[in-house]
Amino acid sequence: MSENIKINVNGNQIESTPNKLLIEACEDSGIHIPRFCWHKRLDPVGMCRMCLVEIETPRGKMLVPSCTTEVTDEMVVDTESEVVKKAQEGVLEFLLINHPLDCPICDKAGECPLQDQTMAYGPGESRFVEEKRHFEKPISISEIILLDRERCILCARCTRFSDEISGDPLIEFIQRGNKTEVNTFPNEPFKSYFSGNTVQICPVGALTSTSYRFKARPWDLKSVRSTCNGCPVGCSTELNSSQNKMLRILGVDNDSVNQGWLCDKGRYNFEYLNSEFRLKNPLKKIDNELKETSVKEIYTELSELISDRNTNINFLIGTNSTNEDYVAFNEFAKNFPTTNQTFYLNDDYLYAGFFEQDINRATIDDLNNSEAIVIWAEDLKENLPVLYLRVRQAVKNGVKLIVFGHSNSTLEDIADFYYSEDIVSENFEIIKDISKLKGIKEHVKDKNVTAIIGKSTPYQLDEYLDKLVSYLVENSNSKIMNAFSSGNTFGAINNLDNVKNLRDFTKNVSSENTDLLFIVGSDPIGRSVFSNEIHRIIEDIDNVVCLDLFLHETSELCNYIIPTSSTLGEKEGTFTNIEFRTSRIDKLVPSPGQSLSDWEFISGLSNFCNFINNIDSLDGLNELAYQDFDNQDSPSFKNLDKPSNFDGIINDYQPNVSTMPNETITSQYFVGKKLYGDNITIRYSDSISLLGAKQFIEASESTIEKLNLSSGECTLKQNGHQVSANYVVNNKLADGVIFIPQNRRNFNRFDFSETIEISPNQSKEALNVN
Amino acid sequence: MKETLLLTKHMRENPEDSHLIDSYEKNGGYETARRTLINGSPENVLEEIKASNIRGRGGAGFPTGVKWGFLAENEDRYLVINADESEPGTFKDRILLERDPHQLIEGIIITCFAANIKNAFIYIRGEYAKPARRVQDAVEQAYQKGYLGKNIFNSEMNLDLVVHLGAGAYICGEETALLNSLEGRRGEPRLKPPYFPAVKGLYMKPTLVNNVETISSVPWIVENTGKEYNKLGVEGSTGTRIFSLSGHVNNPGNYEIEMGSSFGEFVESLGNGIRNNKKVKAYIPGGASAPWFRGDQLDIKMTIDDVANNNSMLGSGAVVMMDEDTNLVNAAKSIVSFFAHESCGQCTPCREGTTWLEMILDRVASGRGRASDIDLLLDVCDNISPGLSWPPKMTTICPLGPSAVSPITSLMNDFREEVESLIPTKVLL
Amino acid sequence: MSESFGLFKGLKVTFKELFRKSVTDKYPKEFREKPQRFHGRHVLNRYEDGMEKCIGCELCAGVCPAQCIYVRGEDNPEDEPVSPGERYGFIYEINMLRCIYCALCVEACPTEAITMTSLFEMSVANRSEAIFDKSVLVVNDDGTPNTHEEQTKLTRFEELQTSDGWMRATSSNGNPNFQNVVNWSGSLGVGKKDPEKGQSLEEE
Repeated sequence: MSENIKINVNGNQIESTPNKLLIEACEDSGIHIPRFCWHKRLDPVGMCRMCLVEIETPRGKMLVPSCTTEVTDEMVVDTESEVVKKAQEGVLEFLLINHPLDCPICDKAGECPLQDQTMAYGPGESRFVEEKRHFEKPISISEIILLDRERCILCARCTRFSDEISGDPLIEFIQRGNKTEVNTFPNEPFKSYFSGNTVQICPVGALTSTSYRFKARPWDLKSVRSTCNGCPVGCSTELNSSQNKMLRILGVDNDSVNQGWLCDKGRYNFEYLNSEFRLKNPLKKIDNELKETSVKEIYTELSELISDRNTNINFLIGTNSTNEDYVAFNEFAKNFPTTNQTFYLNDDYLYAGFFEQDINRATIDDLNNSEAIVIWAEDLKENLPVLYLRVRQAVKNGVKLIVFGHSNSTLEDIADFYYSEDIVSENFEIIKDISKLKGIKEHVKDKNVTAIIGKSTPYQLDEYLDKLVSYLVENSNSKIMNAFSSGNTFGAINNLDNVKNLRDFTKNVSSENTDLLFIVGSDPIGRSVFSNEIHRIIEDIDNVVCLDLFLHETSELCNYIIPTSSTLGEKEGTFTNIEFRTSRIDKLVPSPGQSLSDWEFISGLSNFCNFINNIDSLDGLNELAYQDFDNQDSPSFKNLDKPSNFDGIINDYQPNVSTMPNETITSQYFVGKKLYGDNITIRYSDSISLLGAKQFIEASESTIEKLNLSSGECTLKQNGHQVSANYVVNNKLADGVIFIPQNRRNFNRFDFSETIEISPNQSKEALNVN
Repeated sequence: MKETLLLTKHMRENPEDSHLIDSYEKNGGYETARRTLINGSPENVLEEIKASNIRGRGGAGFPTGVKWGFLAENEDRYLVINADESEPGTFKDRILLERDPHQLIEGIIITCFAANIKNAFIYIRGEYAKPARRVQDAVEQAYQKGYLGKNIFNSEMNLDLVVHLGAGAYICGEETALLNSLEGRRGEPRLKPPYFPAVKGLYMKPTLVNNVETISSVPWIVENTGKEYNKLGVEGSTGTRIFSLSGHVNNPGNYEIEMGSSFGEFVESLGNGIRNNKKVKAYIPGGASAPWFRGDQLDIKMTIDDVANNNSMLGSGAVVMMDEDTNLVNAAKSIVSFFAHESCGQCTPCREGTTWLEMILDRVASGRGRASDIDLLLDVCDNISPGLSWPPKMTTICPLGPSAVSPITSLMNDFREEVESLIPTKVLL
Repeated sequence: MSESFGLFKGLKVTFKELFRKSVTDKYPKEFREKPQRFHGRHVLNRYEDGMEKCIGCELCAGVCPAQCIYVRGEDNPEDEPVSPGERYGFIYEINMLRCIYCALCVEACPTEAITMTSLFEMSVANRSEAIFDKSVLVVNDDGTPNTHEEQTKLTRFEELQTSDGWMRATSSNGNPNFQNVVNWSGSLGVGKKDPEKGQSLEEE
């Protein structure tokens, strides 16, 4: 590392590192320079001219933009001189002459950098008396984003974000000079998975989101810092509510995880919390009908079943609970020493081989610090969107990228080597001769490698992934990250003693070996590829208790339904992400009706049956979860609540996972998940519900030709089950590969190992079947 | 006063077919390039250019030899000819492109030989349809003859020349905006630092950007030696220069003269005086972005340094005369309108400021001005170009914003009464 | 000095006051004229075309020191707009039991939607009625004020007609020439008000 240099700002010596931008160096020393276009995570453009400062040059004092000037040794800077103040006033007056000043109705007002900086640095009044520039007031540039071009100050933050960071430059400047405006291309909406970030970084109210439009003003918002539990990346978020209603989620700049960005699903999938369809009271099935009841009654009936401690209990655990919830279930299960309790995780992508091999675990930051990245996992952009951004960032910094499989076809454009074969199951023979591949030979062997490994589809065989992992372990200095798509999977694996995956559930569980089944926050019938089998099993079992937010395909079948608090903003706890980083989940709004947290329900039941457990307080559970760790590294509430640990604490867990050995299950189709699905939460989040409702399949042009599809729509048919769908051309898919999203309505009812008849959809009747 | 014809000699002598390769070769064309490529060395060419002391003809007047010396070493280097001549009042490159394109191509060949460049581009202004056609034809003819392409003149040298037509933007005459436009991006100036064309130019490779007239002078300099060229003109402004004379003169047009005579002399002899024998009220010495001179300043010498010492610039050599009947507020307004229309929209002061200046001038010119408008105009100008000094300081990336300021400062410094006379004394409610 | 003199001296003030006109009013039989800037009950005004002036910006709620105002904005329906512009006040409630009649809401309002009248005698039968919502606060289409109270001896609804005078730092009529000139305007009822006499530049 190069040595520190000294610069002189306003007569004070400050230290900085070479090649740092002046605005950053000043910021680090607590000297604020006003700015609009400069953003820490974007390349500087020097467009707004707000950050002008005076520096001394051989030709006298000069005004330079501090966001494009790098510090040099002995530099003399003045950020408060009269000339600088005049320039700042001038720029603000220029910015305001065409700004509509509709602050009273603007969603940004109150937290608006333009307002704040006008107060701090601006002229008192405007001398502009002519008519302002006019555009049509908000135009919707996508389902979730609105654009008001009158308010825009043309800082290019949004256009730079979508070009540099997310890589889908769908908004650009058009026209020039005073008529410049931001807009989309004709007939091409701003259809990005990361569009919400542009709303957050917009320094004025030009970009606003439909979900927050006119809902509240910033000064009546309550906020807490929390962690997104939508996917295992675990982005740091700020939750905002007003009048006890969740209204907005913002990304928090957590340097080692999300760097301030969020995906649109993480940002906008919260409206279901306020849905009228939320369960408010416990339900009990009487004569095949769900009737409202009380928690006490359910406790009474369950205690009759379990108080002799000789019941066969199994758990089907979702990935949306907190670590504390999992601890509570684990402790509860210990009350039944004579029977065998198993926790089946509702994650059909869980790759257990990862935990069996002796590997170095990777952190997200390792992506930037390695020489090459190897990816063979589910589609990062669709399932782990922010991790996809971090991979893009690493590639931009010169890290080589080697991608296997067609699931990550979105990375093909930036990948240095892209290996996929014309088979659908992603079980590639090439892995057997992996050392012969050019990309591996040149960039992986004996190099520092970070790998992201996981199942690309539920039907992928572990043995191929094992091959790749063991090659990397043996032949390179590798760090490996296990990619999987659901939320707090690692938290569940860490805190539950006997975890198996969903396929094991279909093989092991039956009414004969299960007296009582708990289903916790999951909808395997509606979402997993084993839908039909699970449906049969659950129907057979006599006593099924479901803890969930909504009535859905799975909960409808259960005997007892307990309304629960959502992990998003309705309860406290901890969350463990893909790199085993544990961070805080916090509570902001009350949960409706008689909702209980998972742990509250189970500790209540435990008390009701007079079991002696130490699970009746959240702090107690938290201590239990981390009792094995040193006090300092332990991600206990006490440690996580220190500001230095807000970004989370990484720990070296040794989870105990065992799954059954792989047998050959194959699929004729490439089955995967899309970001927006037909999940119950998205269905009840109004602003994004339509994004996940579209039924479609994907295939390349030649495949579609072979299927004789022409009208844009088709019907999928198998054993009397029939779904009509659109088809989308995706030429990045290999010939013969048909992609079927499993998280769309009714798609997962198909048996993908058998042929599905795909026929063109012509008759009106066919459309109305489902 | 007489013209000295170096660049325009061939087109003057062959007015009918000067743009054709046969005519050009008949008069000794491409001979210099052929000799240089076969017998000469790049070092010698560079020596000659340095000895000639020629300064860039695009407007900034940077010594060409020094510029060539700055070009960073790299495998790929590019030459870009800036033919985006859009400065109001300037039309010198037009005749060079339209009537003697082969002279330019010969200059390009020699320049690329000297600087070891294998790819060159001519970026022509979008409105120059005919010159672009002529240049395109000339390039094709040169390719057919083997003067471009592989093994030029049977030497080792390869050169590809691409003609690119702009889309009609003044800002693309700024070299970095031109490079952006050439790359297919928005024509917006790049940040300097770090994107100096000589280091990170076209496609982030070292790039030489030169004006048409500069490169067209290269064959003459190499043929007749830089020493001869240096003898023409005066120290600091050597050689000849094509001045575009326009405005209220009897004989407007392009005149190639040695630098050093006075503007008055130039207008009287070659321009044949002001029309209707009127007096000069004000004149622009070097294109729309240059501050004006008063009618009593006609004895200023037409050299880069003398004009600069009088707080203006010789720029692209566009001399615009305004007689005593001119409404200078309207004149300033139309210049400011031009810059407001041509602002790329990147920097706030230029984007908003120039349009605002246009609005205020419009108000004043139409008799709706206010007493505070003069101070307002100057203060808005000051926010674009702090201090209103010359050469201008800038709050913007490129000098387009300050260019719009210069006619207003000239107006306010020298013709303030005229502006004040247009403002009604009674305050309107 | 005799002691009786002291008695008279003491009663001097009493006798003096005995014949002075009484300062107390026979309230509620008689009502005193209220000053022009008296702060009474709020109204929400309309424009001449019947549009509500309130745009639901919540600035009044934000500035209220008693936190007695609850406002929620909503997207203006395109075919039947409630107020000009994109946003309108969807919910507007004032808890009159909490209100301290400071008129900060009036000062904060960017559209002169909320103003105060002279009426201050309000009575309600239960606490929930004291929360005045839009149906009470918004003036009628003809600009006459609205109320949900019953006429009693105490309530004089004509006082709802007299608006408070109030001032703004800048002109209410949008004329830039009035910058920095204090400008008075009556406020109740519909439409923009002309500035009061004595404040325009013409008369200076």
